[in-house]
Amino acid sequence: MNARAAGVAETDQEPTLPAIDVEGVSRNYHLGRVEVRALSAVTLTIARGEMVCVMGRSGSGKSTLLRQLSLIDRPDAGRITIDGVEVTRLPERSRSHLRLAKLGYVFQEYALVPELTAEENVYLPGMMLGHPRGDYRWRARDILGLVGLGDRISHRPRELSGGEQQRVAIARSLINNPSVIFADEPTANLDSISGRTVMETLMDLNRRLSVTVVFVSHDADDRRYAGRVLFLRDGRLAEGF
Amino acid sequence: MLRRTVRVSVFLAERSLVRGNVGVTVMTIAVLLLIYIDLLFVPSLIQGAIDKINRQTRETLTSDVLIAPAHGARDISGVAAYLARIRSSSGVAAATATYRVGSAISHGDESNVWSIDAIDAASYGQVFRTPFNVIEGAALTAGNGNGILLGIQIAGVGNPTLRDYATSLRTVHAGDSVSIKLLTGQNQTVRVAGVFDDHFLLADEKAYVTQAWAEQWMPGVQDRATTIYVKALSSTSAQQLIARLAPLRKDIAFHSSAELAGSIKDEIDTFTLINNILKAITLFVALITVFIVTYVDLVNRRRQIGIERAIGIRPMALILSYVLKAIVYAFAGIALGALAFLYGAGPIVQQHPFEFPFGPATLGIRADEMWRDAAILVVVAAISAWVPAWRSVRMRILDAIWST
Repeated sequence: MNARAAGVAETDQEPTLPAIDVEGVSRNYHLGRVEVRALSAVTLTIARGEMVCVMGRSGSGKSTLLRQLSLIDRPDAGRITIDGVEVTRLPERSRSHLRLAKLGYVFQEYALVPELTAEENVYLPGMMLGHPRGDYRWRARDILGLVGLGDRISHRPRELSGGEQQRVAIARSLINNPSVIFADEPTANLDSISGRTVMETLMDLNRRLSVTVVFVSHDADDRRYAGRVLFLRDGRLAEGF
Repeated sequence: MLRRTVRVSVFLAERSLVRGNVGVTVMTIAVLLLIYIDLLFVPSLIQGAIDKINRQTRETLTSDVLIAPAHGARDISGVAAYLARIRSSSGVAAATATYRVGSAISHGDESNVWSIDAIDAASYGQVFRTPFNVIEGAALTAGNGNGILLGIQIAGVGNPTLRDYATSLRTVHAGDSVSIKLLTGQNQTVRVAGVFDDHFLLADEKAYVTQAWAEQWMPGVQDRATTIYVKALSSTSAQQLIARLAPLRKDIAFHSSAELAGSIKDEIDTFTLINNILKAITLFVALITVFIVTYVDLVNRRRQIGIERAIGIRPMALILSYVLKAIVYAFAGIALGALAFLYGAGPIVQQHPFEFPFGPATLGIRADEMWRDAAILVVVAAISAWVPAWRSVRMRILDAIWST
């Protein structure tokens, strides 16, 4: 099944614009009275269709960086541009709409709504964005087929394995045809076989749909799925390798 | 955007209700069912008591319309002709005239002041229930006219539990003789024809003699009355009846039973106050119940809510989904509560009424009260769900996701 047949159109954004442009982003956290510098003046650019892996030791700031890029958190300083739109100072309502319409997010733990079936979990963001009912149901089924779960659409999360739930989460991140998918250690809670399936699914989507993928991993083996690796150390971006 | 938000909230609420924790749903609905019954029960009982008092007032004291002499006049003259015209008016079921005189009634060492009503026994029984509530002896009739019918609170009948026993004649029974001294000065010793118990204090402090007999020793009362009582057909209201009777005569004053209920206004006001206090407490319990159910649900789902917000689900859709769930709980509780109330509590209390000093009272079920309480309960449930849901979605997404 190709991308158009799946109803997941390839991006129609201006090809010269980078998917993400980050300039001098810093983020501090307060743990009681102690201020922790999680990110320090990070500057980077991610091109459209790239598959980027963010690596680093525990506490290096990789998940913090992902949350800034995916608009779940706001940086204390710096500027983030997504598809040419400066998003850092947008009001929460607009950021929420951007998360819904342009970005996909895959959490470390299988973050599905337990009362919804796989299909319903996938089409929930589509329903929120306002796609016609028949359209988002059809898209959800196709995308679930794309991630290899076409025969599990009526199953609820508790009836799926960890790897299957994570692939449902990936399918959910695709429902609104995002320009970027963020995945925060998507294989951390999976066995090696399920983890490999999930990563191959992400890589396959990146290649077939040209969707930009930024994922965080602490597993050195995962770098093989990425076209580029960013390495964070103490909140600063080190040279890629 | 609003339509999308509502659609998502309905979707989430419906799936959560259908596929969520059945135990929580059943318990919440059960609590709201009990709260709704609680909201209805005491007010209905109080309404039943008020209805009973109003009925007692109409059936023993005032009838539907009471006609009194015009201001300044002592009595109404030409009663026979006037009664005939009243009885022929449309909407009139029955009418009777009485002549009231003040008196001192004594028996042995006991004596007190009560009024005596001279009545036409036949027509009085068509308007009032008192002749049917005789517990000793017999009611007054044309053939049993030379006696007095005493209320139980006057006779005492040797029952110290009576409320006014201390000021009554204490031990008088049917067949005994009592002395009567009218305010006009005449003295009589009369046989007690009977004792009645209307289960209504104001009515049970009355005494009756027949008009025919009274005319023998109270010259001047013939064809005169201090009060005329008119009973309306069930299809006619008191106000309609007054409007029809007013043109018949000018030198009189009309009063409805509602106007004359001033003596029981304090009791009704007290009942209403108790009712309002109990209702406020019950609604507060409802508010706390729904708040706790929603709050516990939200605490358990805080991370899920954070994730839903992270993927772009609007906070308002999440809030509305919890409000909708609470409204569904309330509707289910109200529907089941109404069924239990109408087909359970109502018939049971009908068979086993509550005993009040003024007699047995059942539940006075009023549809408008049921609808109003249902609406209040729905609003309370919605507000109780809104507050914790609103507080939850105000939390930062990261804090929500990281919370356990």
